[in-house]
Amino acid sequence: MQEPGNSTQWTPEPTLITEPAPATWPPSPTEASAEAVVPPPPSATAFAPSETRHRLEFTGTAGEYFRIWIVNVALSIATLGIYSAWATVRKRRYFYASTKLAGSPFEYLANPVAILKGRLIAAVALGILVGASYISQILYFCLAIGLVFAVPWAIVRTLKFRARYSSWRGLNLRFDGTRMGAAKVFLLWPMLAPFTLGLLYPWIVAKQQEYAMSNLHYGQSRFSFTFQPGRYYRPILLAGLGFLICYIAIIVGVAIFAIAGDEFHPERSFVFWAAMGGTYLYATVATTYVRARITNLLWNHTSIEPHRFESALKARAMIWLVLTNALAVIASVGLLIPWAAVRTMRYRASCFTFVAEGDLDQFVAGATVPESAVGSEFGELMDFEMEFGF
Amino acid sequence: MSVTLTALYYDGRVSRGVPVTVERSADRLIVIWGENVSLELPASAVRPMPRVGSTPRTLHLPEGHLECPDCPELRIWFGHGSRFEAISDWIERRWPAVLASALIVLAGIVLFTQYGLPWTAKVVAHRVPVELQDRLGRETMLLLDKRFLKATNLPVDRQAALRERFDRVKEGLAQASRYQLEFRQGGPLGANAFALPSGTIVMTDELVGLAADDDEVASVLAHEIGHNELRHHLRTALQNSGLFAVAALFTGDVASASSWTVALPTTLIHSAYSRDFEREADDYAVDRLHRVGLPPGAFARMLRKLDEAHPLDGRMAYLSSHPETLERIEAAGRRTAALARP
Repeated sequence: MQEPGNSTQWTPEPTLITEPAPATWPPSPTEASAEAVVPPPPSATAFAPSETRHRLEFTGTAGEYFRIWIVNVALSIATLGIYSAWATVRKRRYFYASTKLAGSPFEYLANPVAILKGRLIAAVALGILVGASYISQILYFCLAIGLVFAVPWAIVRTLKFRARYSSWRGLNLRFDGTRMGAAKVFLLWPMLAPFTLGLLYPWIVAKQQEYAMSNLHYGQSRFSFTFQPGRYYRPILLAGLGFLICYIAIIVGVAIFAIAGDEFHPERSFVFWAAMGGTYLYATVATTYVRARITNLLWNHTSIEPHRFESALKARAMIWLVLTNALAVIASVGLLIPWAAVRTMRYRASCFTFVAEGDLDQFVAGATVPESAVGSEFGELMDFEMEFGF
Repeated sequence: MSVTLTALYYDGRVSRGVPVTVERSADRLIVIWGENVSLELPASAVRPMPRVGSTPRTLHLPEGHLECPDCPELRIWFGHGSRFEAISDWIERRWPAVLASALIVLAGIVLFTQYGLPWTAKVVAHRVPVELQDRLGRETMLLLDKRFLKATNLPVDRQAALRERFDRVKEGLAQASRYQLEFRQGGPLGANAFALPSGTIVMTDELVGLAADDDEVASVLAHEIGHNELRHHLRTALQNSGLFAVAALFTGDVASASSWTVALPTTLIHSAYSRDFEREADDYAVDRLHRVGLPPGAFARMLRKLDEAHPLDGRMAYLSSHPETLERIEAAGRRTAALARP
């Protein structure tokens, strides 16, 4: 047993024994999160190897997050938005570090200054676009077209940035999808969708998920995605049908309204607002339903050899969550936003399972390169959000 | 008395954590010791991630990182990691400071939406060159002509008489040449008049029909000119953008700011702004009529006729873009009386 106090017996440089020791050390408290399947007797050769199911643990609380959130808002407003980069990083670090897989928390490593730079550039670009609309229609048109073609670039940057600065047990994720791939999946196919009366849309969603997951790496291991577009049709077409019905109802309603009345003050009409409210309600319910289903589809088809993922979100529970959250937020003048966020995250984590084959100590780091936030803030501005469920 | 911390060490090369002990030696070196791990480095080589809530602390080393629960030694040995975030963390840990932040946020948002934003929008809008506002109106006129409006049925001499009144109303204004009067059949829009940012004022035949005399028509034209003179279109656009920015800061990201839970309160505020602008234009109309020598009482009379012809549903007052007509009539009456006093 060496005495740490006697520094004269040690070399000043950090020393590290590079050979990993045999995996005898068990990960810290997994009893609560893992249900080990009893391994089969040695005679059974062609059967299930030992599987451990790890449920995601979310240990964040509303009280704690409220404090972080309210200070985020106060300082963001006080600094006219400059602090918002730090606010975003603190929020993400809180949610990442409160989420544990097999007992180890995730880590968000982004530098707030990089995010601030990305935001300022995005804000300036937006300002130029708006200014151009005042100066010259042609210029605005050209810039708008240019923006459309920038979408694949922004998406790739968003995915790259998020992945690079997300880590678990010291290894980070890495996204190496190409802009061509993003252009095909986020521009080309969606442009063709209207010609198929929207029938192409579920296939496109599956393609987008494939793009996002199959180009993702954890350390040197690559995620793989099983592409089965057929499964996406039922939820999306069902919701789409509902929208069609709503749309027709609105057109009929407006027609009746226009013929009957001679006065065009729709905002004074109770019927008008009731119809608007009804539409919003339906839109929320339908969107939540679709989101729950496609999140499940995403994770149930994703694996990282030899392990895989499972997601069991219930649409009904998600809809209840979203509606009650909305009521709570409105009734509390926004003060219950952190409570709603924590509640949602807790539910989502409880439905997410990582099915491990063997131990999780074997992942090896890949090469890492710092990523700039330029473009990823564009992605966030343009409301781009890959539905990972988190 | 040397303090020993326990932590997990991750070398950043494989996904395995090793339990280690961390101590500070007599000459301020940090010693990390565990199974097959033995490191000694200066404290300055350890970079702590700033504390957030009660989440596990991570300390980044030149190679790999340490993960451990929070404790006072971390601050003593390694500092905060970020001065900036240390302040936020300090505030977050004290409920009085948190409550104070909450009050500041609520008070700040109320003051901003009630006073700060409208005042800023007013100042900025008056600095913007008038010509830039022209663009906002062009497409609207084309759309209106295509969808709702038909050519006027008013006889030419009636139009000429009204144009003369119009010229009288805009007499002396710096931007008088920009204001053009257009007559249309209202159709589904009924008795109506509106001003486009470019200076075009559109008036429907139905409105002309409602008025008892040309002075009453002139009062409506004065109200519409008021919208332009006071830069209401631009101020509306600026105020709406400002509201959106505040919503984004409040909810934490741009995507949530467009959700419908945010849309509800912002719609209420939009409507409130719109009603304020209508009141401003009403006051302007009365003042303008008085200024050019036309009877200011004509405006209140016109409002009364509008109210009788098209009574509006009072239930949706909070969502309406115009104040209650009775309120407008009373306000116009009061202002007229005030002007009449010597």
